[in-house]
Parts: sequence; structure tokens; C-alpha cells
Amino acid sequence: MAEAAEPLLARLRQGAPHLLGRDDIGDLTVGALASEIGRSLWADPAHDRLWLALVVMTGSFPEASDVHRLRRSLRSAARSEAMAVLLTSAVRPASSDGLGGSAIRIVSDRPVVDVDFCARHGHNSGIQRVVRETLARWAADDDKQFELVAWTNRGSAMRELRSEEEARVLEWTSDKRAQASPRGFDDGAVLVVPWKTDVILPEVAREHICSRLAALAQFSGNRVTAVGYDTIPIVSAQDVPYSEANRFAKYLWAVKHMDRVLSISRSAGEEFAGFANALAAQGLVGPQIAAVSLPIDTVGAGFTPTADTSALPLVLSVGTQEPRKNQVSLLYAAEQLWREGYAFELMFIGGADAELARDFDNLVTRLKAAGRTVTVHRHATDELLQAAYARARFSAFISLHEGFGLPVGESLAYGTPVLTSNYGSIEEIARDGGCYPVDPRDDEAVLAGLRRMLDDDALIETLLAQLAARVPRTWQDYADELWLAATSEILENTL
Amino acid sequence: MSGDWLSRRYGALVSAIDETDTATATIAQAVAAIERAPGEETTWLVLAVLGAQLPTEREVQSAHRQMELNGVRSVVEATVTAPRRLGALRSPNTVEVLRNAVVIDIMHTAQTELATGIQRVARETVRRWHTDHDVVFVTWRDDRRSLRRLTPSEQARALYGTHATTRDKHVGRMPIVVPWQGHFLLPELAAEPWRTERIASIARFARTRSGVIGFDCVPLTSVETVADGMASHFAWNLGAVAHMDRVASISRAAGTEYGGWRRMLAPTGIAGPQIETVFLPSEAEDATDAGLAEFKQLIEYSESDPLVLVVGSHEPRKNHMAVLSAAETLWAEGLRFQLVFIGGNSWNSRAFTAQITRLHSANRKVLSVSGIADPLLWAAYRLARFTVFPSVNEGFGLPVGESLSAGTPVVTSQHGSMREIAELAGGAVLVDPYDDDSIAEGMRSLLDGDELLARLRVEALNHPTRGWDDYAVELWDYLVVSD
Repeated sequence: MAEAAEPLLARLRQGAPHLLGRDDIGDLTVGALASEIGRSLWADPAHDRLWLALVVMTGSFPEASDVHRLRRSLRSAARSEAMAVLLTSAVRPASSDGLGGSAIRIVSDRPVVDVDFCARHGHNSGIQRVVRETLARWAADDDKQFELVAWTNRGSAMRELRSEEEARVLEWTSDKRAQASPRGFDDGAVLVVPWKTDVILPEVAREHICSRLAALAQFSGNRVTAVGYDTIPIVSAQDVPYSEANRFAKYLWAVKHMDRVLSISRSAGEEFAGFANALAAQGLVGPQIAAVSLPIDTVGAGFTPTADTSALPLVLSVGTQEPRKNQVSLLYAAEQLWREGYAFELMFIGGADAELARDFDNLVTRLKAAGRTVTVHRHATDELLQAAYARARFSAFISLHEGFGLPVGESLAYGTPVLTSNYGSIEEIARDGGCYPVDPRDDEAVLAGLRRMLDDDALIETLLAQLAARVPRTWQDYADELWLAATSEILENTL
Repeated sequence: MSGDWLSRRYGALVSAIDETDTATATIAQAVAAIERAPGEETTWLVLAVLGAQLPTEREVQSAHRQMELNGVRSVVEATVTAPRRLGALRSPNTVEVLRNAVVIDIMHTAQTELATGIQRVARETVRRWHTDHDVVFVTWRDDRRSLRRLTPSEQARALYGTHATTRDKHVGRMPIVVPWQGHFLLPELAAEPWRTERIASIARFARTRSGVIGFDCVPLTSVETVADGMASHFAWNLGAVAHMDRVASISRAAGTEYGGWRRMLAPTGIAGPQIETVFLPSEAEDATDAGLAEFKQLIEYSESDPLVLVVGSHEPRKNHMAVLSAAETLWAEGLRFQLVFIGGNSWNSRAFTAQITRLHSANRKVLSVSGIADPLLWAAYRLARFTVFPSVNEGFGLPVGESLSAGTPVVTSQHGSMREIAELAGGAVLVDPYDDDSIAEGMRSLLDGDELLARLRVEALNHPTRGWDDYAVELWDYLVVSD
């Protein structure tokens, strides 16, 4: 108890000015502070105050049931019992998380940005790329002040980043790819408590923090904004591993109580807006939704295409090989055309999960055995990818469901036309030119599209011209718009 | 011998494609029939009839591509010689195509004596349909890939919830049935992924007009209130509903949830089903004098502490902790009443149980009973001064309807299906279930206010009754009759 008293006193001193509305608490003891705060909460048990009091008392962010329990305990207690109630409320969560000894720092003067995964891990695909491209640009702008945070290992609270974690977010380089924070990074970490400020979540929160994130969004009074990528694990559940829907539903629990979702495409925004609509049945309005679309200028700068020296026209398909990306339909169409005597190379670049790629792998094995010109690169370097885009007559991206469809933007950035899907977020990108959209759920349409793109040189010329005329949208545009949408008083253009 | 079953399956296939009655056919005739009507729907039928297994969407796509590349005959041959796990020595099952029938998948209700809300709705509905219409009840075979009719004892359980006797023998030898055209209806919640995966394929390819009762989307919209794992089951269920023609939501609130999901679905290029509300009925049964006496004894009822009744399992969504908190406030103010909960423990009810224990030791008049027979439940509704049902999210909120049908006013939530029932029937005080004070205020108004109570009682007693007969007719009209 003696060791615990020192950090508790420090936290009480941090929290007291916000809970009591005065600063003259310099020499008060733990008992005196708890007594004053208890009585103050007893008189005004507003949810945000209860939330903050629990953070102060326990050194962890509360769950909804903790907030309810404290409120109900105070309601049924006499004023003179308020301190005892407050102290009791601290016992269970603090002891279960083991961080009752942590110091806290309350942040009210700048947005708190949750980069838990990117800080702890060097992995860098879709979402992490968006986070790092965006945050690096925010960091380069003196007008944008923000506080980066991760969560503790057990998801009990937000904490400060270590310097190498900050570098992993803001100054990522490919040699950091395999890095991960050790568990010991929690030790002695100062917890960051957002209070009356913006909390921005550019990542998809992981399952184990969702209960506390939901309570933060529901009770803490902070304005909570998430970047909304897609709801694939729910809406296309059959195309992802079975447990994904469970995980994602927990994320939606937190989204339910958020203030804003800024979707990476209008189409993804429709998905979150649909979810928000459904909440009316439980008397909630859900978050406001607005689209802040991802950029389409990913890697084009400084890229010079090399001359195509190969004999066969190349059709390129970039992305993980899985049922949702629909590569099997492309293979089927290709096989039809090869049988008819068409000569072209079909190249796949992208990783794969063995289970999800089984049908694809079997088919490729069979086609190769039959002498078809199909290749698969699971661990392609950037150089190979660039060379492939340069060589390709066109790329094909006929995914069944995407929040954005990064490979389409990538292909356009390299100046390569794309055979795309004709609905959803992909169609949104395709609309501005350089793409030939087909219904990816219709084999005949995919076959016809592939045939036309191979046959029709005039079409390719037209698409190239459209592509060149596209107005580029940069990461800087995206980063600036996202900041504005997350921090402005009123969200414009809501869906 | 083996040639007989095969030629009968070819016959069934040719009959279904050509809309004829051909008892037997040759492989050549079957191939010719398929080639006359090429398409994924025909491919689904080929796999279902010749393979005696309902294919998944992916199996259909894959087989269809094979047909296009390598010819129909190669797929036909591969399907009839596909290895089977069991019964290699026996002659294979008969396959019967149910053309233009109303096929009702009632697997779970036929297996269980449980009478949850969903089973209650399913039984009350299909019992009436069974009397009034020609319908075929089906369930899934042990291979989890094919359908058969119900046995008499399963059908009794589906319609009346009678107790299971021993397991029916010989179900493995019953004919395998394949729905084709007509209707395919799902009046219960299908949660098994192997089942919903194949229902999706039926809805997409079997040329049936398919429909489902939409109870709620709680596993999607309120995952924190359901058992872990439910969200994935439910997402797969929605994957099947996505290909259906119609959802009959049990309330406008449930329809709002399905409508929100359909908006989420649009970016996948799937339009989703039509959604319309067929509002559930509320019927109460009369309480008997014997039931009343027994219930009074059970709860040690005394006139000085009027009964406040809460019906429903103790899961977090039902908000029973808030009711306890509100009650404590009112007791502390000196109001007298006895609070009785009727309902089983459920997922995450530990905090509730602990709180009941604490209130007992503080000598509060609170009691939680479970597993009581229906006559006692109706007696409880009759005896109660009012009921309390401040749930956060319900597809319907059966206890609200039951209470009002029994003429007992209810304190319930100001939103969702609970508000809808109250608007239809009157007799309710609407509160904010997220605010304990609001719940306490609602309860106080009915503990204090005899006049208000009397007025609400009259409203409840006079409300237009809508019974299961009405519901079954409207649901049939929507799912089967109307275009």
C-alpha cells in the first residue's frame, strides 16, 4: 500500500484540478484528495468526470461496467460515504491490470493520436502505409501539434511512445519492417489521458482494447474520430477467416460510440453510414460519417518506365491472393483466351495465406503444367513491382469488395491502365479515367473485358490518355484534409 | 442395381430442367438437357441432384467454369463418381426435386424443446401454415450438406415443441430433397456456418423466391451484449440473407437494423433483399386462480408491497442492473414494493446475481426466479402492479407485448421496438434506458400515481388485439403470395 500511495497521490494531483475545478491542492494528502473528489462526484456524477476519476484512481482506462458501477454506488451512498465508494471502485480494475503504480499525464491542448500497431510493429502494408504517410506529413507541419500514443500490452490504457516507437511511425524505413516493441516497454511508461480534446484513431483498433476504447468514446467526453477503412469482415465474412467477423464486431462496438468516422472512400463511408443507421434501433445516432478519400499518386514520382523488351503482352495482377480479390475468375478468363490461341503473360504479385489461396494455387499449378504463361511472385521486391508495372499492357483488379483498392491507384500512378470492378470503391477510382470496369461477379463480363483489353489497342490508347489527364491527389492533400476533418468544429459533407 | 439409382437421378434432373416428368434418363439425355439450359443455376441443380449434396456458391462457380472449359459431360461424370464417406456398400439415397413447393427449413426448432422467443415465433407461425397451406418442412442431414423431410416426431417438435423421445432411426435412408423454383423460407435463426453457406447458394441459384424472418441484428450492432462468437455466426447468416428476396422484420426497429446492413452491403455489388415489417403479435393467456395462488405463495406476496415484475433473462442488454439501481433509489425514498425477476441466468449475469445477494442482505424485497411454468408467468403478469422492461436493444420485446395484453402497464424504453409496441397498444411509460434516474422516475410515477396506473390499465385492456393468426396470414402473404 505504501508503494502504491505515492503514484496514486501523483495521479490525484494530476486529476484533481480537472475534477474539482481549482488548482490549490498542493499539499493535500491522498485521503484528503480522495475525500474531496468523492464528494464532488457524489454531487455531480457526470459520466466524463466518473471516467476521469476512475483513470486517476486505478491507473487504467475503465470499461463501461466500471463507470456504471461507480455511478450506481455513489447514487446509493450517503455523501459521507463518497470517499469510501471512490476508494473501493479503485480496487478491482487496478489490481487486475497491475498498473496501479503508473504515472499519468493529462493531455488537453492537442489531439491524441492512437498509433498502437504502427508504434509497436514495423509491419507496413495497407493500413500502416496510410498511417505512416499521413503522420509523417502531420509531423512536418508546425501548425499541427499532436500527441502520439500506443496502448499498454493488456490494452488497459494509452501510454507514451518510446523514441524508437515514434521513429517507427514517423520515420519508417524498410529495415524497420521486422521490428516489434518488447513487452517491457510498459514498465515505467507514463499513461496518457486525453481530456476534453480530440482522440484520433488512424488505425483499426485491435480486439483487446475495444472495450476500453468504447468506454472512452462513450463516457470520457473527448471527441473521438476514426479513419474508416471498410467493413469487409462483416459484410464479406465468407471471404475472410471465420473469426474476423467477431473481432471486427468488437471494433464496431467502439465505433458505435464515436463522434466521427472519416472513410477512405465514399463507398466505405456508405458501409459505416449503414452501420450508424442501424443504431437507431437502440436509440443511438452513431458517428457522423464523411469521406476523405485516399490519394492516387502513391509511387509515381521519379519513376521512368523501361522499354518493353518481352515478346508477350503482360497482364499484371497485384494484391494478396484470396477469394475476395477474385483472382480465380481472372485465371478462368485467361484460360479461356489461351485456349482460343491468345498469347499473353499473366503475372501475379502479392502475398498469400496458404488456406485462403488454396484454390488459386491449385489452379496455377494446373495451368503451369499445361504450359500456360502464368507466374506468381509472393515476395516481390519494389524493383520487380516497378518493372512489372512498366512492362504491363494493363493491370487487372477485379476484387469483389474493397474499402479503397490501393493497387488500382498504384497502377494509375505508374501510368498503367486497369481492368477493374464496376461498383463500390473501385468504381469510384475508375470513374476518373484510365480504367475499364466490368462486373467482377460475372465470369462472362470478366472474360469479355480481358479480351477487349488484349485486343483493342485504341481502347488502351484512350485509357492512357484519360490516365494522363487525371488530376493527381497527393498524400499531402489527404493528410491536410484528414487533419481538418478530425479537428474542425463542424464536419462538412457528411454522408 | 447401381444403374437404377443413377438413371433415376438423371431422370429427376432432366425433369427439373425440362419441366417434365421423366422417371429415368441416360447420361446423354442429362447432358443434352443441361446444354439446353446452360448457366450457374443449372449447374447448382446438377450438383445438388446428381451429387445429392447442396453445393456452396464457390462449388457452383468452380463446376460451372469446368463445364465451360471442358464440357458438361466431364462435370456430370465427376459429380456422380464423387467419393462418399459413408454407405459405399448401400445403394445411394433417392433424390427428390421439390418443384414449386413452399419449402421451410426449420432444423433448429425441430430439434429442440426450447421455447426461446425465436422458437415461439417459428412454432406459432408454421403450425398455422401447416394447417392452411401445402408446405414441406425440411431439416439438414447429418452430412451437413443435404436436406430431407422431417420425421413425424421432428415435425411434432417443430409445430408443438413436444419432448424429444429417442432419436429417429433410419433418417439416413430417407430421400434427399432439393428445392427448385417455388419458395424457400427460413422462419428461425440459422447460425451454423455450414448451413448458412449452403442456404446462400440456394437463395442465389435454386430459382426459389426465398424469405426469412428478420428478428434483429443484435450480434452486429450490440456485440457487447451477446456471447462471444455470435458475431461470426451472424455475419455468415447475413451472407445468406444477402441473396434472399425478402426479409420480414418483426418490428420497424428490426427493419431499421436490416436496412442499415443492406446499406453496408451495397458497396459489394449485391443489392440485398427487400425488407418489410410484419409486426409480431402479442398474446397473453388468462391467469387461473390456481396459478395466482401458487405464484403468490412462491414469492410470499403481501398486499402492502405491490408487485413490480421484470421478465427476461439476465443478460446485459436487458439492463437489469439499471432496474436494480432504480429500485434501490425508490426503496431509499420510502416507497414500498416487491421486485421480482422472472428469467434465467444468461451470458454474463454474475454481476446481477451478486447485486441481488447484496440487496437481500440489506433486507430489500427483491427476488429472482427462473424456470417457472407458463401458468405462473401469466399469473405474475396479472398480479403485477406494472412491469419494467428497459432493454437497450430488442427486435421485438415480447414481455412488453405480453404485459400489455394481460392489461398490466409497463415501464419500457423510449426507442426501438419497445416504443413501437407501446405506441400501438398504449399502457406504457416510456423512459431512457441509458439513464437510471429516468427509469426510477418512470417506476415512481406508477408506484405513486394510482390515477395514471388506472388510465394505462384501461389503455392496455382496450388496445386492439393482434394475434398469431393475423401474423401467420400476413407473413404468408408477404413471403409467399405477393409479388
